[in-house]
Amino acid sequence: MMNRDKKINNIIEALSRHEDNSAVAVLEEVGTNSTEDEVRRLTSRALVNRNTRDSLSIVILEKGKGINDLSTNVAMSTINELLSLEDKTQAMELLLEAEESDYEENIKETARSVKALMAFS
Amino acid sequence: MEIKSINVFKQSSKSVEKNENRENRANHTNPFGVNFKGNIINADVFESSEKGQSENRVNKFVDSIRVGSMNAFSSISNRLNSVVSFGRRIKSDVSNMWQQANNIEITLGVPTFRGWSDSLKEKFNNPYSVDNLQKRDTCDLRSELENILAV
Repeated sequence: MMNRDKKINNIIEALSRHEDNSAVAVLEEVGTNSTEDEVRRLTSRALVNRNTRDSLSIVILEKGKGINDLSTNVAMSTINELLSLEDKTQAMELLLEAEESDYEENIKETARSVKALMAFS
Repeated sequence: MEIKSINVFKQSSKSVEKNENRENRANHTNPFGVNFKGNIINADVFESSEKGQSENRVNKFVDSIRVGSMNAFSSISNRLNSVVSFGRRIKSDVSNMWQQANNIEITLGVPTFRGWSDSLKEKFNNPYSVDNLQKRDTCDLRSELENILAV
């Protein structure tokens, strides 16, 4: 019998690979709002691996999610996933947008730092 | 004057060459003066007219063959002996192995087979495998995830 953590991991992974774009909404509403750090970490990783504008905007531009998560573990894990992306064009566009648009200063600063890291990687 | 002296020198050199050729022919038993690339061939390559010498040579040759064959036979017999001993050793090893094999009981463990079949079953029939979950609707996955997180 499969344990709870394995089930959660597999469901999030299945939503990450799912063809239906509504999977992004499920990940955002259920995964990123979870009280468990591990669930938020897995959800952020799934959204980054999906590598679409919708999924990346959640982990880059939204307050308290992805790279802006209050948990250092979740934020660092998300940055690591962003750096591991093969195609970084979408992520770089969103980071530039976050830097230049009218977002909170914390989000701008984080986006600037991650953009510098991605430029060096 | 000079021309005359040159002619005298030429004649004298020719006579010296003739004398040398005569001496060479006298030293060698080659009666025909056969040469190969300018060198006169020695008598060794021709059959000697003296029978005694040829018989001696033939005898020596036969003796050398005999001695050589004796050495060859001894080495062959040594090799054969080693091969025979190797074969005997293999035979004894095989017979020992066969006796040991007869004493061993081989049983197929049921738990191992069960574990193997379970892993296959889990792979193909597990509703929570990523492949099977991916085929489900996102609404189902949402409710499933919420239910698990609520526990």
